Amino acid sequence: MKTDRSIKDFLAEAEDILETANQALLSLGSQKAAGRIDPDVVNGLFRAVHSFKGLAGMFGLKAPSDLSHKLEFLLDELRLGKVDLGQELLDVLCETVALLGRLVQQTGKKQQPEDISTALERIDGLLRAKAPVSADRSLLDRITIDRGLLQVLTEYEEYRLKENIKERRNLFILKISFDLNDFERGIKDLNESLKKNGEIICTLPTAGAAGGSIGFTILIGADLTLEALTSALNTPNLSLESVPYVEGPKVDEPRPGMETGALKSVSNTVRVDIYRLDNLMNRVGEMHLTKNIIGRIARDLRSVQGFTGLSAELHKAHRSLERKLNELQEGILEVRMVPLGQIFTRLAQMVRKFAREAGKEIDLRLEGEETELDKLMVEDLADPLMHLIRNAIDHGIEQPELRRKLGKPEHGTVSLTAFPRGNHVVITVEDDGAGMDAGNIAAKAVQKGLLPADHGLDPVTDRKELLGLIFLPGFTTRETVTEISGRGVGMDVVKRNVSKLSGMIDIETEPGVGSQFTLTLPITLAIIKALVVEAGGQVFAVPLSSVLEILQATPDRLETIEAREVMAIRDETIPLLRLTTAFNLKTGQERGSFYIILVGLAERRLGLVVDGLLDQQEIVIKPIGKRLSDVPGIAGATELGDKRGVVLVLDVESLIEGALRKTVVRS
Amino acid sequence: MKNVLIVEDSKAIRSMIRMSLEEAGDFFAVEADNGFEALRTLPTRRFELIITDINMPDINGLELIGFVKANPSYRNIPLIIVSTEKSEEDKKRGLALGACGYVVKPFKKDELMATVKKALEG
Repeated sequence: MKTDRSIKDFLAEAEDILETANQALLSLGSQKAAGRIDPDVVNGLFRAVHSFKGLAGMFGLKAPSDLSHKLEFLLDELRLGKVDLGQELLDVLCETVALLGRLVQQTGKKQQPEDISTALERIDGLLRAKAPVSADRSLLDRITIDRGLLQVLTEYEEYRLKENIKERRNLFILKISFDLNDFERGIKDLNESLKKNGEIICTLPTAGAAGGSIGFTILIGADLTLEALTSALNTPNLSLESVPYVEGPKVDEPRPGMETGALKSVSNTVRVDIYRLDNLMNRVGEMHLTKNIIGRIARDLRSVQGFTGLSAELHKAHRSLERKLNELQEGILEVRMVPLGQIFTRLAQMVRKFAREAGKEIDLRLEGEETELDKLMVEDLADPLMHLIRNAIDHGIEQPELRRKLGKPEHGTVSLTAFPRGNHVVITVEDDGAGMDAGNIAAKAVQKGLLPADHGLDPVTDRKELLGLIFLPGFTTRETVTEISGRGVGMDVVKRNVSKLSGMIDIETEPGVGSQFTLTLPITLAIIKALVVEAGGQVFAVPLSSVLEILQATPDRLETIEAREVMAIRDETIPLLRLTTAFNLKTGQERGSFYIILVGLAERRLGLVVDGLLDQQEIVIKPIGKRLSDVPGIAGATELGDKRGVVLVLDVESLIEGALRKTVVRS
Repeated sequence: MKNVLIVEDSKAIRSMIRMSLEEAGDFFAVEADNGFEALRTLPTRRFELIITDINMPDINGLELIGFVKANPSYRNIPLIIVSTEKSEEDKKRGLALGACGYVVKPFKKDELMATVKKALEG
C-alpha cells in the first residue's frame, strides 16, 4: 500500500535503521572473533531489519521489502538458535545490509533498484543448512516459576530463557515499584545495571505498590549469586528472589552438535571472565614470592653446607619450580592475549564514517592485526587509537583539492600497524597529511597561555619538546576537538590513557609530508619483572622492561649543566633524576657510590639515581587508591612478600617526561 | 471521539495507523513508540482501543497485554495486535492473553479498519 507521505520520511527512517544495523554488525564481528556473542546484539540486529521490513512494506518498495523480509527470516532463525553464526553467514549479513543501503540510496535518487536475486539465493542457501533442533520442551519444567510470567514471553524470550536454563545460569525475579510520573529514568538505570551483570530475559509491568505507581517484574539470568547481584545492583527498595531449579545437581547433557553451538561461533572454546584470569595471575605472583623465599633458603643452606646433600636437592627443586612457574605464567598470559585485529575492524569502520563526515577520501591500511595484546589492555586502546585516527583524518589529511595541488594522491592514506618487539607491542598511526610544524605549535601554545612568550625554545633543537606540547591539557580547544561518542577528547587524554597502560607515545612528523604516532606498550600489565631499588630509605620497584642499563657511579662522575645534573655515559650526556628529589625524600648521608638506572626510549633517556639495588623479581602491579593515582611518577603498588610490605611501582614514562621538560609550563 | 492508543516502534507504521484512523472519522489517536511510553500514556485519558506491535525492545507487546489485562482499570479495553507473518507463535500467545484481533504487516488500510470495527463492536 503506497502512502502519500514524502519519500523523504522513508529515507530518513531507513538510514537511521541501517546505521543501527551496521553498528550491530560491527559488534558481532568483533564478538565473533573473540568467540563470545552477545544475544542482545543479535536481537538488536533482528529488530532493526524487522523495522526496516515494515517500513519498506508500508511505502510499497518491493525490492527493499522482499530482501529485508528474507534477511529478517534468517536473523530470526539465528536469534532462535536454529542456524550457526559461521563466517559465511556473517559475510552474508554484512553484504545484505550493505545492499539494503544501496537500495535505499537508489530509491532516494529515483534510480532502478539493483537486482537482489543473488542475495536472496545466498540467504536461501544458508537457511537450507539449518541444523535440526531437538525438542527441548522439558527445559521449562526444570524451574519453578509463575505460569503468568511464562505466558507473556515471546518465542524469542522463551528461547533465551531455555538457553539460560541449559547453561544452568542462576535465574532471578526482580520486583520493583516506581512512581508513575518518572519511572522511566529509574527503570532504564536499573536495566543498564542489570545488563552489566547478566541478561534481562523479560520485563513485565504490573500494578504498582500504591496508586500512582507502576511496578515491574523482571526475569534475569546471571552468573552471580543472589547476594552478589543484590550488592552489584545497589538499588534500594527492590525485591530479588532466586528462581529455584527443580533438579538438584547439574545434569550433564551431551551437547548435540550444532543446536547448542548456534550462538557460539567456535564449539571448543570456553568463555572466561578476564577477572578470573587476573585472580590466577595474582596467585602466580604470590607463588613467585614463595619461590623466592625458597631460593633464599637454598642459598643460605648452600653457604652453610656447601653444594651437597639436602642443599643440592633443594637447589635443584628450586630451579625446577622456577621453570614450571614461568611456564604456568606464560600459559596464563597466553590465555589473556587477544589479537589487535579485534579493535582494528571496529576502527576500520569508524574510518569510513569519519572520512565521510570530513568530506575526504581516505585509504586505510592495516598491518599486524594478528599481533596480540592482553585482553584488558586492548579494550582500553580503542579510544585513544580512535582519537588519533580521527585527528589524522580531520586535521592531518588535507582536502582533496589541496592534495591535488600539492601533487599528492587525492586519497589520503592512514596506516595502522602493530608489531611485537620483545616484551612490548608497538602500534603506529601514520598519515600522509599536512604534518605538524614545531614553530606553529610553539606559537599556538603561547597563544593559549600554555607557554610563556619568552620560552626560548628553538624549533630545530628543541623540536621534540615542542611537539610534546600538543599533549598538554588545554592545547586542543573546543573548536578543534572532535567529539567521539559525545565526549570531547583532547590529546592529553590520549596520552593519559596510554600512560595508564604503562605505555609511551611518541611523535614523528614532517610538515607537508605527514605524521606518525608511535605507541609502545608492554604486552601485559598483569605480571612483570621489576627491579627493586632503594633511595632515601624507601624501596621502589622499577619495571624492568623500561630499564636499559644499570651502572654504578661515584659523585665525581656527575656534572651540572644549566642547573641540571647529568652524566656522560660513553659518548652521550644523559640527564639524571634523583629519586630522593623526585619524591621529596631525605637524602641522609652522602654516599660514596650509587647506582644509575638508565631508562627510556631512543633520545628520551633518563638516569634514575638510587642508593642501592636490592633485587629483581616478578611483581603484580596493583592499582593504588584515588588520592595517589594522579601523582606523577607512580604507576601502582605491589607487595614484595617480605617485611618490606607494600612498595610503590614507578611510572617511568611520567618521570622521564617531567625531568626532560625544559621549561615550566603554565597549566 | 474514541481515543485509541497506538504502541509501535516504527514511526512510519505508527503514522500510517494514525492517519487511517483519523480518516475514518471519529477517532483520536495517541502514539507511543515503546512500552514505557505506553505505560505513561495509559492513565492520561480513557482509551477505547489499544493497537500494539508485539516485537518491541524493553517491554514487548505480550508483556503490555499481560499488564493491561491484569489491571482492573484497563482490562476491558479491546486490544489489537500488529504482527508479522513469521511471528505466528507470538500472535497466538497474544490472542491467548486476551487480544481480540490482529493485523499482519504489511497490511492495507481496509484490513486495519475492518479489524478495528470488529474489536469495538465485539
